[in-house]
Amino acid sequence: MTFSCIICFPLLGALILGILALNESSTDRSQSGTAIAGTIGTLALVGAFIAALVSFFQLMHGEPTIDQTLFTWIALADLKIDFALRLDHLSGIFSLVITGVGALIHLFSVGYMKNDATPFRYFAYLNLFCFMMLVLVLGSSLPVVFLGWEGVGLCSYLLIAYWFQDPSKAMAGQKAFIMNRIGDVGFLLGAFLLFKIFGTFELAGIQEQATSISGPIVTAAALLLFIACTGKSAQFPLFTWLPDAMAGPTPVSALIHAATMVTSGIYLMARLSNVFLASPIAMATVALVGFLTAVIAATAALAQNDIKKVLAYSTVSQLGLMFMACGVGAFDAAVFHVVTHAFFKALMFLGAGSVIHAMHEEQDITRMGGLKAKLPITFATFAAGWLAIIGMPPFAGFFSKDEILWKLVSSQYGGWLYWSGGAVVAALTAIYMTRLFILTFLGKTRAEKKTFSSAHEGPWTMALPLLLLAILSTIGGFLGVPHSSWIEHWLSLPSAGSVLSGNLEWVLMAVSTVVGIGFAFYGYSRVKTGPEKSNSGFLKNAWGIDTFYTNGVVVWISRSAQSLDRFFEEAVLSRFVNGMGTLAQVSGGAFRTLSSGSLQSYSLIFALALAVVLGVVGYGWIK
Amino acid sequence: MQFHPWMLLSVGTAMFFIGLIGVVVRRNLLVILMCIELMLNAGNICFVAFSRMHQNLNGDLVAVFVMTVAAAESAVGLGLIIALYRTLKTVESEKLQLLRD
Amino acid sequence: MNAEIIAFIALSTIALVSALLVVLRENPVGSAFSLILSFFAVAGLYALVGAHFVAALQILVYTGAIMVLFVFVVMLLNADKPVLDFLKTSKWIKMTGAAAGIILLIVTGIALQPARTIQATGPWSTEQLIASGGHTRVLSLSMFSDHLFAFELTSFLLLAAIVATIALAKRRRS
Repeated sequence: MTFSCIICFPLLGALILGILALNESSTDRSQSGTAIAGTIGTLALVGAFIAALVSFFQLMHGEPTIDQTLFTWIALADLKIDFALRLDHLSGIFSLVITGVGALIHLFSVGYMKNDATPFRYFAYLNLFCFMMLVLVLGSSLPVVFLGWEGVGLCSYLLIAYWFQDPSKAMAGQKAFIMNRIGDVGFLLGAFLLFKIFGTFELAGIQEQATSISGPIVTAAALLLFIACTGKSAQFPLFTWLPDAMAGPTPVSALIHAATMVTSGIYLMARLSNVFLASPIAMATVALVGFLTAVIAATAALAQNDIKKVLAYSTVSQLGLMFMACGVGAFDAAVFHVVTHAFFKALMFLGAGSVIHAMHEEQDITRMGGLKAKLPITFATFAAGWLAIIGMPPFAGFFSKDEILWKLVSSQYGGWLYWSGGAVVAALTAIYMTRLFILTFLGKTRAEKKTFSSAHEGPWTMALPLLLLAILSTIGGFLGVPHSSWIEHWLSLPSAGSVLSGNLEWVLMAVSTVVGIGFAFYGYSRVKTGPEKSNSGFLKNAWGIDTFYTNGVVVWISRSAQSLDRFFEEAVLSRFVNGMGTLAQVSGGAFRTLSSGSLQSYSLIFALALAVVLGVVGYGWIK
Repeated sequence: MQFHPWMLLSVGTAMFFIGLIGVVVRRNLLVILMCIELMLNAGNICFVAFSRMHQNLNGDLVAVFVMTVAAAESAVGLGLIIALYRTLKTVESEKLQLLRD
Repeated sequence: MNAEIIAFIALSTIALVSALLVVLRENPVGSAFSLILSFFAVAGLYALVGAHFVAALQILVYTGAIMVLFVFVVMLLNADKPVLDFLKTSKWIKMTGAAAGIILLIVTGIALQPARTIQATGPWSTEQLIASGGHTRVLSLSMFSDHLFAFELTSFLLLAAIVATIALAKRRRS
């Protein structure tokens, strides 16, 4: 019973808020709406978090899984798909992260969206998103997971295009949705292929059977599923929607595009880890794509001037790192990094939101600076997030990132090449994050006097989540200390074996700490005197990939649609349809001459008909 | 050559088709009615021929009844033409196109 | 070549030629009179084959009643003026009609060939008819016993026709 509360509370919240949102209008701005809507939404998520915690404790006390079948969804001849939920160790972790971080972000939104015109709609969408995400991680079979998969894509679109009156924001939402959709094709095809191979949609069943099979068909299924992950988790080549998605409200970016939706890809890979382990080609592809994405995004983050865009590219880069870990079979490490990344990235997004709120919607970091004195809480918490992401011990990011780097070198699929790739990404991360931190908070301010002097911290609803997430970013890493890692023991996902001795790990950790500090200093030295004079356009545009899509692919598609319209629709179809009409008219006119009203022609027709009948009868009779 | 009923049959057939052509070709309503009578008469001839062929009296009997019906029908038809004449003031079939589109 | 055949040829020629004249004459009165001639010839044909009752009825009913009625109506409606309506009929209708008729005639002629060999023997051959008291006697006996119902119905039909005609042709009191 408690188990299904996890998903029921957000669903209920979404329904109630949605109904209340129906009589909102986007022009009537009343202040109290946000408080009521925010309370309902946050309470729903808090309730879900408590339910998740209770169920998690049940698991900790020895039950391996909690299953619940809610109803039979599809019942055809041989096929029976139930809407069934399953809480096991992996989904327990994910559901705690989703509900916990989600609750904090709901609370933050109460303060951030105080002046918004349609708060009920906002919180309804947020709750709906949490519901869909929970369905995704708790689903016990691929169709249920797909339901959640599609649902989070939908909610992402709804929330990115929240201020849809602005056409560019609406376009950003559309872009996100379409790119997600491309990935969804991969999901469906992969699911069908898995069904063909294994005969079941149940995740547990697939995972069991996949240990004993291999071959090109499994590779194909794994690659198709990876395409789905590419779309949802913003990897190359389907990553250009994530920077554009920053058009949505900042808490949305924190929740969806840092902590939860974009990690669905990692979840899927961890769930079906045996399928991937059965295909070395797929593993290598995953690692390579992850590395490529991480590098592209990290170099792009170096050249961004919008605070949210830096964080967006940073998310893409970190996800690339997580996929590299999956690519060498270190699924436990990837999930661990998901958890810590949720903590510090959500923290930094919320911190950015606090900054934007204080600076009256200013998002350009070249016009910030010196905010340390004005926004002390934001400064301190953002610093915690910064230290976590660059890998400074003992913050959370240190443990998880180093776990990934260790696995990159020590796994049987990995090697020193992989490790150096990961190290490059870590170095770049240190540079751009330090640059962001310094340009935003330190030094002399470059903002307008009026804006700067009126900057102040937000209300407690914004400060409390920041503090809680900062605490988690600081101590969260101890979930996974090497050689006594609770989280790895807890997850026990199938993974590749290790080929190097464990002591090397400590050495590498020290190396990466030094590397992190060193490159952070380098980043500091670059922007000590202020922002760079000009940024390379190539890097700023993420290596021109997005421009290629817009000017190449999209234009090509719309041109071919236009020519299809001209050469097929107009020339053939319209003529055909209009021809039918003309045919009816002409034949009607022809038949109309028969009813001339003239006795003569009538009797002629009688005579002719008689001739025909007699002819037929006579013919038959003669024969 | 011996007389055989089929000769009578062919006479009847020929007369029938003459009447049919007449109905199609002529435009005077009264002449059209006369051609209809011709067709009925031709049918009578055929019945009598059949009666002779089968050495039966059924054909003759039918011919009697057909004659009666033809009389009734021509009476009614002429009554119709008279009634029509009052509206049309003519008996040309061309003028009888009130049902035209 | 006996008298029967000669009579038959003569009578049938008269019948067919006058039927043709009905169609081809311009004057409606001329058509009517050709039709009367045709009817007379047909009566002769009936008598030739031994259907005397039918022959008598033909003259009495067809020529005596129907054609008289026709001539009355022609005169009543002043329709006796010759009308060159042949010229006005469309050429196409004339040609199609003629062609259809001829073709039908040929086809029917061919179709009727098997009739040449029917040699059914029924109860009423000509000799038996004469032996039983003549065609009239036999036919009327049959009509008034086996087919009495049809006879009575026919009289009702005639009554209905009379009523209908009177209702149709009556001058309206305006």
